[in-house]
Amino acid sequence: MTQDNILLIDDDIELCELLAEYLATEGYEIRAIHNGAEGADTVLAEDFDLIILDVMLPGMGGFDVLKTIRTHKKTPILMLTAKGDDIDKILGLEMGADDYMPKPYNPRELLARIKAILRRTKTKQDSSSKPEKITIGNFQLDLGQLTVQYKGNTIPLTVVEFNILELMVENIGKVVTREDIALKVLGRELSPFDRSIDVHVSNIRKKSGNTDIIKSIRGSGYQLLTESIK
Amino acid sequence: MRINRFSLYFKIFVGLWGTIMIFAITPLLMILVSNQESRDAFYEHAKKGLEKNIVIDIRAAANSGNIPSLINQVKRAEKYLNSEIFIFDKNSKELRNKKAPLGADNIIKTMTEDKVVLIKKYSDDKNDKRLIRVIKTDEYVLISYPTGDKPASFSAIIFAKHVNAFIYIFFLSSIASLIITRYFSKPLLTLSKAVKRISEGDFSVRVAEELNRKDEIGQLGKDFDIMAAKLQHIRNTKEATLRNLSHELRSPLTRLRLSLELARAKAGDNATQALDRIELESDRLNEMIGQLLEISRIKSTENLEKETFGIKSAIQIVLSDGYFEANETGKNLTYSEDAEYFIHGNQALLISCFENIIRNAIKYSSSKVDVKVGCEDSFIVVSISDDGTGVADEHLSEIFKPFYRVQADRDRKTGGIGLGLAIAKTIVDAHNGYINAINNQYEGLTIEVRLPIDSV
Repeated sequence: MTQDNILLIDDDIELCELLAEYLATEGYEIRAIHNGAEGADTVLAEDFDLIILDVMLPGMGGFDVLKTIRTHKKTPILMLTAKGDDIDKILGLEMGADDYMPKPYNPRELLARIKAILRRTKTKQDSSSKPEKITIGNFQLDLGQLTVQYKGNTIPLTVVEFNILELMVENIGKVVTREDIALKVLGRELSPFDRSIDVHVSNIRKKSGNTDIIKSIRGSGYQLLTESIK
Repeated sequence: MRINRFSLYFKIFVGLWGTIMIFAITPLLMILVSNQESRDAFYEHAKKGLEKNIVIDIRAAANSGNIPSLINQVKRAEKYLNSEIFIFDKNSKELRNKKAPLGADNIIKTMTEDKVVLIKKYSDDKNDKRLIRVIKTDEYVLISYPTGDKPASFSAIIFAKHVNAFIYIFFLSSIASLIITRYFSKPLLTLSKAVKRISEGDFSVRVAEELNRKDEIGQLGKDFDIMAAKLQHIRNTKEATLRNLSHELRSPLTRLRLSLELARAKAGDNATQALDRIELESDRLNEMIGQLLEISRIKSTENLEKETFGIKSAIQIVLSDGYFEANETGKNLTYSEDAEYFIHGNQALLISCFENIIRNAIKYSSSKVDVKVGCEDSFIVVSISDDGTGVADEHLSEIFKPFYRVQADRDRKTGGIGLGLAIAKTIVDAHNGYINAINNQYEGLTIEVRLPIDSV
């Protein structure tokens, strides 16, 4: 198994050095870039397993970097936001970030999130026991490529969105709670007023072009119905 | 406007009005205290004037054909001018059915215009000669015979002559006083309201435009605005400094946390305790910075995102965590409500507000915390009482200030940083509500939050 390759886009040089050292002890390989535009170029030129992106960057801002990356690649992106800035979080998730982490963060928590996102990506790509493709209704999930086809069209889902959809497909007909989704996909507990899961689900609906595919169950979670995906 | 007799408005009004009235009656007073001769002259003059006025009034009433008014005027004349008056219409009929005196027929026939004539024979007494006055109008002839009665008193005449003037002065002076009073007290009220808003911490208030005056009051208004602008600037600078400082503190703090994790990996078990302590303190520092930023963020947000929601559902969210926390420390958290109330506000912030208060109460309680939701006037009242040691009365209003600690040593043990209630107050203020701390009758403290009910 090759080392996971993480790109860090943050203007705090000293912080990047420390984070690189910390994550290296956990077996990750880190590249740090301290400027937005350069970061976006690097992502487009090379492949990474995960990107940690600070939204407050001088020059090309974090959101612009996010937008640029998302138009070309679906590499998982963990966004670093200022604490309490709810609009930043929602905006980031809507623009395709996979999860966020308020700053200043607890390094162990950051590590847990990195692991959660990478675990689901990796297990699927490495495992040979699971079938390569799941077909259910009009959905076709390619677990190796992490791509989804709906009625023959590829839906450009991000990794976390793919994982949420996969979880829904695995539990088709059942209600999956938000807390469950957060725990299994993001590897963390959902705090009150955390709209992350709702934003991800809304993204899946939008991208599939059919807002009825996932039903909201008020106060509890989401449900994928067999008839809704026909 | 409610009248308060201590108000400036009232004082200026009464002062001005009283002064005008005194000026108005001064000439009269001067005559009253002068010698008999001038009093008599004044009396005669007043009487003549009154007579003239009455004749004018009678003529006007007669010409208008208003009989009751005519009779009223005639009665007035009889009262003040000690006369007996007969009113004859075109058919020589006396209007009040009085018996016509001798010679009246002749007078009615011969008189073509107003006149004063000496009647030689008035009654059976041949020597009874009287000077009579005849008033002739198109419809009526009035003959006034002097009676031998005692003339009307000095004061009656003066009053009758001048009563109209007094009524005019009364009303005019009232109106003038009101106008002048408003002119002076209105800018004062404007200024007083503005000063009140400043004292409540609202430095955005400006008055010069509202006063719109070029005099000293206008200048005062301009100076006031300059003062308010300076205060606002000072506060903004202070808050910006605090915000920037808190923000800047986060970078080294994040680096500190990372170094700590690296140290953990490298150090042996001997260092664990010390490193845990560093972690705890850096968490506290982080929490404090987070809360400071939260306060400054709420204060600097002009328009909070608001929605209408039930207060019960919001408090339930806090309570579910609260029950857990209370259970862990062996305390009892109870909740009661009389109905569901709706509020228009920022749900996330209000939840954070109640969370801060309830967690604080749990921390300081000795065995139980009681949360109550009720309603008073147009406010939802949420009261959170604990059974702890309470707070000295003189510190009650202080506990909402940032970093205020009632009992330093106790607080450290419980890990508080003194910002929870400050955040709660900031949030309540942003919702136009009120927050108060009251010591319970026997033991413990009650925090009472009042929020306007959504009337929709």
